[in-house]
Amino acid sequence: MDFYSVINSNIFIITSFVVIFLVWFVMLYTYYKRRAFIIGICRLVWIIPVILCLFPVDKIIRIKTDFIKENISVLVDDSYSMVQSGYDYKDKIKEIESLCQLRGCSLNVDYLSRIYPYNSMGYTPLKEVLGTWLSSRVGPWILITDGGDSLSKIGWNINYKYTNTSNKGYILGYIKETPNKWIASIESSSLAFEDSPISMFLRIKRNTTKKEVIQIQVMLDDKIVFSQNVDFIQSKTELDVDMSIPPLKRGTYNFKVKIVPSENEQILWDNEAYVNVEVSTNTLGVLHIQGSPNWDGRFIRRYLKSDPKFDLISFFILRDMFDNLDATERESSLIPFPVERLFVNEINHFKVIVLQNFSLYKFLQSAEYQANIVNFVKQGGGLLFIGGANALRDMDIFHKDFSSIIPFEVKYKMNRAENPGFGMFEDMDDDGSGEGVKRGPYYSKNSKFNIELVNLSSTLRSFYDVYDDWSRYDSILKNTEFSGLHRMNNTTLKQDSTVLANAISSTTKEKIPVIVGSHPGKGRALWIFTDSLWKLAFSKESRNVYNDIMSSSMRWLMYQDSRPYLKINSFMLDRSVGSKKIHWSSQLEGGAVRYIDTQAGWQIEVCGKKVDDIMVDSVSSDISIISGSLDDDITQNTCTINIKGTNSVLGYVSVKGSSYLGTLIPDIKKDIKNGSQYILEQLASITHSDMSINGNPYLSSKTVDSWLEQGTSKMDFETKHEKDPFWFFRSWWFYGCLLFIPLEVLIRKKII
Amino acid sequence: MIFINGYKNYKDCKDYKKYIKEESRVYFFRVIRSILITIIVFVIPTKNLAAINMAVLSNNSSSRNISELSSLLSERTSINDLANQEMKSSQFNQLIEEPMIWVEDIKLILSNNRLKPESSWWLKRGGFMVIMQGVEDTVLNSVFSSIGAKVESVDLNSELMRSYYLLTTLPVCSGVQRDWKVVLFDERISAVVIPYDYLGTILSYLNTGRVCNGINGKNLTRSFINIMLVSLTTDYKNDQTHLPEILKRLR
Repeated sequence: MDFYSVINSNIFIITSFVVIFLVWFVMLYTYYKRRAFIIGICRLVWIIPVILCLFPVDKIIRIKTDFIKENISVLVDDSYSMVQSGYDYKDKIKEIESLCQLRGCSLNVDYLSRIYPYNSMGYTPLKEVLGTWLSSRVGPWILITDGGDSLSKIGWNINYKYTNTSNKGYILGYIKETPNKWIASIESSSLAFEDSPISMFLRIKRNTTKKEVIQIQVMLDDKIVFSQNVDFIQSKTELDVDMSIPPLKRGTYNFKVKIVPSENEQILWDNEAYVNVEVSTNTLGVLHIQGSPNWDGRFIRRYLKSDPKFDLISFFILRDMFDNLDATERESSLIPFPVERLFVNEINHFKVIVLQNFSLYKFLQSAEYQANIVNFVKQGGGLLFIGGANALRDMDIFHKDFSSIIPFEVKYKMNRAENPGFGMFEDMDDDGSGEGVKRGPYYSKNSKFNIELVNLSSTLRSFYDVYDDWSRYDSILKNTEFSGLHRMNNTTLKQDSTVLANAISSTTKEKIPVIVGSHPGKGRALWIFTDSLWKLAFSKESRNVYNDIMSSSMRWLMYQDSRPYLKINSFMLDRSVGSKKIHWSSQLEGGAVRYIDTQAGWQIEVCGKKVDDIMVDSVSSDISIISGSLDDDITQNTCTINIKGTNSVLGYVSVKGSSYLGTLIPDIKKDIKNGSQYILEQLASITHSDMSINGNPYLSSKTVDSWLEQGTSKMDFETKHEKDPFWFFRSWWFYGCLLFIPLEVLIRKKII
Repeated sequence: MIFINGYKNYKDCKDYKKYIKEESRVYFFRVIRSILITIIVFVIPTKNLAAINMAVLSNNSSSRNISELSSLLSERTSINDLANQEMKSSQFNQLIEEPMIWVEDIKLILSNNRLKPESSWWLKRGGFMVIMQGVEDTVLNSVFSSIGAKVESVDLNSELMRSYYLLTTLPVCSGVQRDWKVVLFDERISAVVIPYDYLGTILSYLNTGRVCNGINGKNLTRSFINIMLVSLTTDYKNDQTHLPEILKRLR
């Protein structure tokens, strides 16, 4: 309502009105004198509604133009359990049809027995049918079921996207009310530690409300390892329970958690759940061996001892063969190096070996010990190699076992008359001019340098994720002057090795590899070709530089990656009723997913069987879904998937997951005949549907009638705009203005 | 070093017996060479080793020749690279990058009876200090408690007493009232407090054979080696003592 445009368009009426009002007021004044003003105001107020008719408002009117019927898909579970329960689903369908006639919708009805022929065998293949049925439908849908399913305990594989009301579902659930309790969810951390209790969280639901005490049992191989009584108070239908299982020894455990059923409880399959927990050692063994004490050894030992998760054993070669102790044995605290014990009996109990300033050939002359160290690494152990004057002598480089894990090869080829000498590659004057210098790698104490991290590709960074931790200290590494470096003369890097950082010579700016990562066999190794990294401990910028760098190195060596390059996000199993096959699928994530190929040496085992024929569905660059099928001759309840392989970039990759493999439960068995509220709740949650149980809306769901009204019928409308001059007459103010009519009369009559 | 130019091809050899004789000579010389190399490896100290500096914080600027100490260390232990000359300074900041500092005057690390910020910073970062001056216990306690360190007497179980040699006493001149103390930070020895000019005493003994009353020369040299081993290896002896329990835990 534009005031000025109204004035402009009604100028004659408004002018006439003003003139008439003024003339009338003059006449009134001559007769009533001073009371004329009050009378004039009263007259003005009760003619306001008339004046406002000159200022109409816009009104929108919807006019129905067309009528379109919505198609609603209906799936009826006509399994044995539904028929036996006496529920008349045909009657219900008729009821919905009559509602649809009012709402403008039509029904397309399917029956489970017609979609899946094995329905007639006495099994309810709800899981097998529902996923496919939903994905092939558009628009709203209704499911009529008692929640019975022959594969009750395995997960749902419904790839169904609920977007808005246009394809929302409704579940008409019908169950006979018998007392039932079930495990709605169970959570436990997949990793626990020896000497620490294992935490589990359980959510229990029930369909009764009376007060009762229930017992929860945790079992291993049918033996109870833990039990706990919990109280369900009056009117509560949901209970959260925290349990603390006593500590167990190292190993992998498959716990069965069971709610002991009450006397009249008939549905028993939902009283059990399974959970896998791996118990590992509390501490991680680190063997630190140093050839001759130096400052680098002090600081690495200080770091390792400061972290309580490491059980550190350090051995130093404190005395050479020809050193003069000048004391009796009783006066010295030195003990013989327990080589047999450490390198034969106990070596596999360590996670990482730190070889610092140590020559295998000089100090461990037995070939068996040297081979054991090499095998330790190749079988999955970690090796932190730190250089020094005693390290990487030519006899180490040419030794047949150690050379297989050293990350470089020496180009120099000895002739037959030569044997590797101790100092073959060294320039004894260290002035860079000797013949030895040119032949191969040697340690130079006077080399001064800074450290610069190299640029790694994203694939290598995902494997060497220790690099990302170090890159925080890139400027500190560049600005610290180090001294003492193994110069890699005449060498080539092996294919399974990667240079992570270069030493930049302070004088010549020459780049020499100083930190190299490699993955010999199944293990990991970090090679630090300097013994002056300890200088980072005195960094003025940050107190934690040295410890952080060592900490991330140790974490990488122990495979404690924060960003694993392969992990299993989900592992699902599906047992088919008719075809006697087990279908499996697993979602994998990480940098390694693009390399998985059973034809390229990767091994995949499902339920203990090697699988060669797999389908790989690439979701993104680092997420894939692999799937396949097996013959259904598996008898155990749980199934494990093992994926392992070797890649030239990533090294050895191995990951494991497990899942529960449910057994088929036929309808004719007593414990499924009565339906399952648990299954109905799961379905409603997964499909974001409204639900009613036995005709009563579940939780905040609508009734089926209001659901039909809201989300189904479609009408087409046309909108029209009209001017409404009488808008003021519909408001309460109008009646207020009318009161001024009798008021004017009373003032004229001199009553007021 | 190579005396033999290789051996003849048997097919070309006309005289079989002569060939065998020559082969035996070749292998004999090879065995001798290997023995010689092994002796050289373990006898001749390898050069190109990183140096362990003897950084001394002192008002006396003249640095002493400590080659005797260097020889002592290399003859008795596998540590062959102690520098031959002291690195002296009266300014802590000039020695701050050295992981071990010998302090002749405690005032050089204090400011208003508290540790100077750089000294405190250095100790927390892992520096090892040897204070060669008699200091009252109360002063020591108040100075080092500011960094959360404890000052304790040295008992027989201390790593100072068993890091290399098993010591029953620590060398103290007669007439010196105070005992050796250790400063523990993070439960490891970060500083040793010796109540006299320890370096001067040991250098005097090594150079002249003379030592003050009350000190046994052998004990003196052994204590020096123990101090150096503690600074480089911290409390490694604890691992060895607890080896059986640690291995049991890991199994």
